[in-house]
Amino acid sequence: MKKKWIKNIIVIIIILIGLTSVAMNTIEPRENLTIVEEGLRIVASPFQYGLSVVSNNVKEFVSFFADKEKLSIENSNLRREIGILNNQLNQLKDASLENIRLKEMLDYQVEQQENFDLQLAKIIAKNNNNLQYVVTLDQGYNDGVTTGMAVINQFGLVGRVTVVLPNTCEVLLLVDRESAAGARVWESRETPGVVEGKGADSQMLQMIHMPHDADIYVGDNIVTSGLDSAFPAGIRIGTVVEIEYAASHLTKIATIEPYVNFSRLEEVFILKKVQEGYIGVLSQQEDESQ
Amino acid sequence: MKIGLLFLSGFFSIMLRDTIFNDLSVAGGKPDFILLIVVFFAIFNGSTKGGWLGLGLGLMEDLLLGRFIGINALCKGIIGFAVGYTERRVYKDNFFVPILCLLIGSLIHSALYFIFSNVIGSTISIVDMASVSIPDAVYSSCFAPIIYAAFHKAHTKKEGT
Repeated sequence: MKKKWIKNIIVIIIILIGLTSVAMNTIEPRENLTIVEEGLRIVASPFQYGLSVVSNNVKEFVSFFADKEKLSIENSNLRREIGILNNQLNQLKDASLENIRLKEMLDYQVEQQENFDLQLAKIIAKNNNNLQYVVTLDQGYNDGVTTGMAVINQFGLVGRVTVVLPNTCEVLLLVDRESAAGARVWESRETPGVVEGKGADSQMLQMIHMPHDADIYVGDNIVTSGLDSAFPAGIRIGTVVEIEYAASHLTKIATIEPYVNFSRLEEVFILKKVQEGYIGVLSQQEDESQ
Repeated sequence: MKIGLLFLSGFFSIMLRDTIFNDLSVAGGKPDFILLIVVFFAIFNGSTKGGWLGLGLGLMEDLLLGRFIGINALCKGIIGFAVGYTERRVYKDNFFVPILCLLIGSLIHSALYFIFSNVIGSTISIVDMASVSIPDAVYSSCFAPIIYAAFHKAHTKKEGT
């Protein structure tokens, strides 16, 4: 029994010393491998290759889900960023268009300052439906606005102020069926009539109450006549696109395409006062153009 | 259990650890299947056989790695020898005991590896060793029930015949 123990201890010591010395000699990487090592690696390499293929597939499979989640987060972040940038872009586009519009209006205001006292107003609400065309402006009686004032823009007549509140006012657009303006043909300086909205959801106007032999043609320009005292004379309204007789054949009706695009109004002028001498200027202009 | 099958399993264990489990490491740890085989073999077959198997499989591992040849052989030989002492002392139907043996064995194995590697002149720090050995031990324990079940089944079959 004792002999066996001694034998075992000797074996263990030999193994311990042997392996330790081998380990000490193989700390540094070696240039040449032993036959056993080489053989083991030759046997191992195809398995390593096969398993590495499996490993790569496993890795791809795992990373697919990891990437999917990552891409999903990235996607939602990018969508949010696109939304913000689109908003900014739209704001810039709006600002740019507003800038162009305001510049045009400013030019018009400067051009017309000898004729009219114009107050710039911004449309803050559109109460339009198929039956009525009313807009709300950001100017009220605190700004000197009163009921009945004409509202225009650089293209022509827009409507008139119907309701005035401290800081806002409502404007009945010319395209509304209830709206009406005394008008005449600019080319003939005669042929009086009344322009009103054509009704329904039409953006067109019609000129009524013209005698059956009225001197009016397609392409004529229609301006305010000033006879109704609601609007000063000479403000552009639109162009005649169609002429027909009324059912009684006693009067003519002209369909007019307005210069003002009522569906795209943003800013307008409230005509607060007509300057003295305006009619004279108007007559002179018309005489020159004739 | 045939020794050839054990070496074949050991061989594939090393292949698996160095390929698939390289990409499936958890907290830097990889399962040490060789140690699992040595520990469970030793539980059923005693110190001498456990020690020799640890020595053999450890040497195969060293030869495949190519550096510090003998260090794994020494560590796993000692673990196999030590765990083999529990052969007649543990209740083998309780799966908790072998898992505990493996966990302790794995940590002792790491400690031995650290000691021997420093004795032969390597400069592995204790922090590095601990950061790997604990995840290694835990990860290896996860596979313990499956591998122990295989050993238990083989042992029961052998006793039956």
